[in-house]
Amino acid sequence: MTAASVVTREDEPFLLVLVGRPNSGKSSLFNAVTGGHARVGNFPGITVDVLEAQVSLDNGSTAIVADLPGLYSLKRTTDPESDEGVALRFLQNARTSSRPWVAVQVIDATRLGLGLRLTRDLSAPLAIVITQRDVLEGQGRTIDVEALERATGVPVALVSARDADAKRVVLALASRALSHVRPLQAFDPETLAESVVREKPPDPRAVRRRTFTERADRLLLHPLLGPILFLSLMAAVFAAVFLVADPVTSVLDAGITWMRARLVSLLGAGLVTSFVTDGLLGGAGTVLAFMPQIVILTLAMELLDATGYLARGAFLVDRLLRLLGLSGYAFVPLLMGHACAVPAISATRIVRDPKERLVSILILPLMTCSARLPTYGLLLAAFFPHRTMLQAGLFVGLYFSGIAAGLVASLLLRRTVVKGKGLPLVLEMPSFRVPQPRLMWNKAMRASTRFLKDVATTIVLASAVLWVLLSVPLPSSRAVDAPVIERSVAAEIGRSLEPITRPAGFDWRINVALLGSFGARELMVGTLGIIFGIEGAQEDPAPLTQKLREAKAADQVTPAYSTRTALSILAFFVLACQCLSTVAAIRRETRTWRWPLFVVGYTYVAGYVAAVLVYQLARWMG
Amino acid sequence: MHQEAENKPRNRSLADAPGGVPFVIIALEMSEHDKSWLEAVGLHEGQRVAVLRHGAFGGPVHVRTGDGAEFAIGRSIALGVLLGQVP
Repeated sequence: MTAASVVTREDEPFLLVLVGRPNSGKSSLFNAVTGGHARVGNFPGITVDVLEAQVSLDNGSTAIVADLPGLYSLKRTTDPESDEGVALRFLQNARTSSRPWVAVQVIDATRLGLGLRLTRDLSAPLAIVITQRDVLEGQGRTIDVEALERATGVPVALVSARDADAKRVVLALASRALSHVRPLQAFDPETLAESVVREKPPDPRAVRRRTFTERADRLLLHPLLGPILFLSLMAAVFAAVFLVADPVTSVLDAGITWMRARLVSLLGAGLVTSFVTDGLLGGAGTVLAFMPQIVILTLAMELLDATGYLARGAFLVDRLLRLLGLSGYAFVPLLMGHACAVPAISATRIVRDPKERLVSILILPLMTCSARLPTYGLLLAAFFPHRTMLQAGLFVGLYFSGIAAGLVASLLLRRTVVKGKGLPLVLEMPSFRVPQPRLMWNKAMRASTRFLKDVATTIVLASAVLWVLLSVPLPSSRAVDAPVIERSVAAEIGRSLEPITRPAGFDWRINVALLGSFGARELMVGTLGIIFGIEGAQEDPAPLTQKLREAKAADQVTPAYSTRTALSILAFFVLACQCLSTVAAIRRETRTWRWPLFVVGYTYVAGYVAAVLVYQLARWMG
Repeated sequence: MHQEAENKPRNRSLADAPGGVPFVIIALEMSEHDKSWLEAVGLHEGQRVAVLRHGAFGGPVHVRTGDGAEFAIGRSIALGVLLGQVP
């Protein structure tokens, strides 16, 4: 029987669900069957991404192929949001739906016994596709497919995802399973696996591959060299995010600037034009600035994961991360957080334990991202001039303060809001493999599209709201010729916040700058520039440093700011989550507003307390 | 008393097993939650295992199972995986 004989209603394609353990070769097979044209499916009640693609059958009808998250067991599901929980719910929905469907379990041929343990949790209509045939044959073994079919009662095929006819074989197998639904027979996985594996002469290429993995592991997992190589590689990825993404971001930024200029010349200067160019287009620019980073980071993560190296990295740094109440998997996103928290929050998807992943997301905003640097530079230059060594020391201290804050926050969170036992560390260490570039590129594109769809709307809306706060003047008693920002809603909020922020040394101008940079930290310098009447402060902050040093308090006599104020603002900036994009990314990953609001709440409270402590202690110490 | 405790035969755990020697898992002494998780990934009683390497500073244990799979197992959980001689 072939795929052409599948009986489906024309308006309702049948559903082919791919299930399997992690590293079973499921994604490669999904790519082979669908040609890589996948999108994130919209399945009712399913909150974790399930990829789907429509496939044309020989008879002119279509099938929807869905790729479930990797899972080990359906019977030991404890967390409904875990991969197992999502897969279980998906399969339950499929069973109760009127749509014809079939589960196709993907099993790694070299781990047949383990795969058959999962088979026992599944039920008809079911087919088994055993992948990595080439690897198994390289080990001098093959599988008696007919014997396995007789023992399990379901159709079985042995393929390699790189086979030209893999798609045809899988669709034909699914058709057989759908046409002749038979109950799954009882069997012992290990005994059955042993009984159907046959010896055959080994393939020298595969023997070389296995030997390569063993030799590579001796070097890459060496107690001393391994961590050095891993950290070097991570540093290279970190640098790539900056070095490769920056020029692309600059080009996109130039495009936005050009569009802004065109709009101003078309619409003329005015409040509406300012709203469109600064509010809406400014928000769009912020979104675009993240895109190159998202693409590069996703490609890098996919490359590390697909080759099998990511699990090795996690093995190497696991002990270190245990001190933070995390595991080795959290290392990569936390490192990436030093470039930008937004893609790093997406990268936490590699953390398998849901509790650990949540903690990683919640502490990521504390890592010193690149957006903090202009403000650090401005304040250090303004209040610690001509003291290069002190500036350098403070700069390094600020970086480590972020890491230390993350450590403390992680320990506290694991004992309070995210307490409870996590999954024990059991990492599968796959053999080294050559990744498929098309598969990686497709994943990077999907990550970018997802970011645009889920985060961009929030950022553009928030940017528009911030524009209103900063640019719309309020009718008040203040001089009409005063700059708009002094008469803005934000200025009124800033003044009304002064009684609260005065113990930290912040006046209304600092409050407005902090409010203006709530959307993005890098706006702090620009907003201060507007307040103090300095144009282009982001490009050349020197005049602004002078203005900050000379600024007077309300009595017009005493200096408004000092080194104490600078240290206080820096303490606040280390801790407070001044980044709407991060808030939107947390909302996107946790699928609730609870956690992003929690992050804003705890980081602002911590930032405020730290600022007050620093300011008051510095005053006490003179 | 101390001497008596030392002389009492103890089962070797995965955390302190020497590298390169094949063993068989004879018991999983841990919570039901952890036990079921280990069993789900294929580390169950009767499974053959050999330690490939121990992570530095008390890091995870890298093991290969009888069916060719390789895992990194946290030391705390490896302490509860008791091993016996291969029959």
